Amino acid sequence: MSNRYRVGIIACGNIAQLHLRSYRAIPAMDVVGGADVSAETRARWERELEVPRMYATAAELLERERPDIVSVCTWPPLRPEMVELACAAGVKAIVAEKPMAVDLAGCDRMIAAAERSGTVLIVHHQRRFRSRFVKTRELIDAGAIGDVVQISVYNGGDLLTSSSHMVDVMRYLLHDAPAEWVIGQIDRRDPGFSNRPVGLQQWEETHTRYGHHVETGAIGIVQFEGGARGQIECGIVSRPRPGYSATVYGTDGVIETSGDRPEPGEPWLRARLKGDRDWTFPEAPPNEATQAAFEALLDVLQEGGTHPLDMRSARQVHEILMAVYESSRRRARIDLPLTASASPLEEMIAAGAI
Amino acid sequence: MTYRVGIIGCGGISNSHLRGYREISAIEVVGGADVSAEVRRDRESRGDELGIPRMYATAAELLERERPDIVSICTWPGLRPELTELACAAGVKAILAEKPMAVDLAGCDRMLAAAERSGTLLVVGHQRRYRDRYRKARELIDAGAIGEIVEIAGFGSADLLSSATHTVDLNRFLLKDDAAAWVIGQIDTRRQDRRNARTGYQQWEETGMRYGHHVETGAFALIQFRGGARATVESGILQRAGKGGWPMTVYGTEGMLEVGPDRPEAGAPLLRVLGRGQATWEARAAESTSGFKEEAEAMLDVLEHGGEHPLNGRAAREVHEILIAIFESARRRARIDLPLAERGHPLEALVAAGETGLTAAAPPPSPAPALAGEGGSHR
Repeated sequence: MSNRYRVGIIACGNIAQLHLRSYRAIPAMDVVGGADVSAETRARWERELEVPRMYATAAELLERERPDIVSVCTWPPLRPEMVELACAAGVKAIVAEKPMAVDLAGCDRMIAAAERSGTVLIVHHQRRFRSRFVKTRELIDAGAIGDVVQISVYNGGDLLTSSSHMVDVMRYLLHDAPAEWVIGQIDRRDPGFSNRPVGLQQWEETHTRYGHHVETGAIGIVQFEGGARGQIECGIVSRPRPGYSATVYGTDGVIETSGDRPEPGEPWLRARLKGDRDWTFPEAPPNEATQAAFEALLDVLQEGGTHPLDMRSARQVHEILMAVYESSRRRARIDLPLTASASPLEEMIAAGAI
Repeated sequence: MTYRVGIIGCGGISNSHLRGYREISAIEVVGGADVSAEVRRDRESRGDELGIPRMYATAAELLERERPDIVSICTWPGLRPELTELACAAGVKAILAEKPMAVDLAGCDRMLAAAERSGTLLVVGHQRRYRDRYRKARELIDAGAIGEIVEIAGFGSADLLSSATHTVDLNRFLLKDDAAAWVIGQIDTRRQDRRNARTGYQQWEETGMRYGHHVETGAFALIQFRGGARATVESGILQRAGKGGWPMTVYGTEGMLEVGPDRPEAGAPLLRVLGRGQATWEARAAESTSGFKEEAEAMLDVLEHGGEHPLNGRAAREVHEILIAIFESARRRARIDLPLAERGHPLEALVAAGETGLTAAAPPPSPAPALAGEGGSHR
């Protein structure tokens, strides 16, 4: 390994600490600096987390540190602008947090910027690197449950914040099969939040999370090429299953995954496999998914190829999420590709339709 | 005793009633009513199992002249409330109303109120729950073969009111008539490219309606039942390939079972189970029955011995409430918590507000039906 990579982290909130930890686990990657609007955060990162140099703006970080790789851990509305900035500064790779952006116009700005500068842009849907989903795909590929009929995914939260991961997991399990159409519905009853972390810092003033509007519950059906269906269950309409868990229904069996943190004694996977008379519990020892995603990025930088979380794949995830909103807005099955580049949720709210 | 039966509305579905009644010795079909002189002539003259001795131009005449004990109401659903009120006022003992119960919940409530006033037994024809394959599925479930039901996936039908009404009743049947807590769903209203045809499409080109009401082109719904189970409904253009004719997959905590469609592929079973302790799917024998005779026999049993008919008007209203809640979910863009306050039909409200594609200029009809897998049968 000849090259070492200088890494900068833009916006040092909660999720940025996962990035920091994961970069530090990879010898070829050195986190050289970060940027955050909060002086308090900058001080904490320098003192407690021992990040060498912290800056008040992304522009300063980029100019002074000349990083090879940046993580963009801002709220999603800022992502397109930050990605454009980093691309213009000549970074080799960008790890953008999820959701990729708020709307498809934002995704397209990011893709265009990365194409212009030849930057590798990936989106941090790291859960597809989790061992429970990797093992599930191995079982599916081995024919252990026959043909996939339906993949149901469950999470609290909202479509952009949480289901973005699970739509990516669906795509992963189906080897990134394109989606043909989406139909769905949302619910926007008042969730009764008060201001608090994980994106709800401005809830009482703005009724937005992470700087954009969110729904309280959503269902989405995705028809994938090849025949399988995805069922996205989110918020108040999700089956009472752990967050980020999934069920894969096959013609000859079923695989259920746990969430991120199974209860004591709960298996990571529970499967009814073809030819078995009872449930089994395939091994899927927990792993560091973000680290695995970053190591894959290193491979792409050194060897070329396409990262599994490549920007174009992430845009397809975002298109499916937008199509759930568009289905609600237009009261229709949405045949892809989706033409709307704005967020149909924001449009519905602006129009007073929900 | 022998029951005198009259049939109001003698179109396609009344044939099922006639065939079923013929198999019950205590029943005699004495007359029918239909607006069409051609239909009246045909029924009176044909002399086979589908013939009817005396035909009338109006339900009122049939009721007055024949004094039936039982009437079947086989009209299009928009007329069902009025005809139920008429039959109840005429003192019939029982009414077998076709499905859907009515177009809207206001119609259902008129029917229930009329039946209560006159003490008439009101039954709605969701006869599929009497079909052998669903009864055997329920027996397997009750015996614990697949553990507790987690989700029922109901496939395959044209539109919600005309056919998914059966799917929802079958969900309720497999869940021992558990009540629904909420419904979330979506419809698609792209204009269907089709010509006037039987099975309710007789006025399609002029009105864009089926059976006298607007219909959606596709629908999806997720129904949460109070006991914890969930059901999904897919219809119209959302139907999966090869899933026409009301097949159903039931996923349980310990296994799954599949109820086959009306016309399974050669060699495919009508029922199969991958249950607790089984290494592979096992086919279970099930006869291909209509369910009508059993539905009618249960009606006579209630008339003679009392009790509740599983397809009584209140049960059918719960089915209809779920269907209307799917439209309401689309209209309000929300999860609809039951009971539903809305008494009208949200699809008609959307059409009236110009918010559907149903009333857009019709594309030129093509010879091929636009809906895949519908198979022509709507029963």
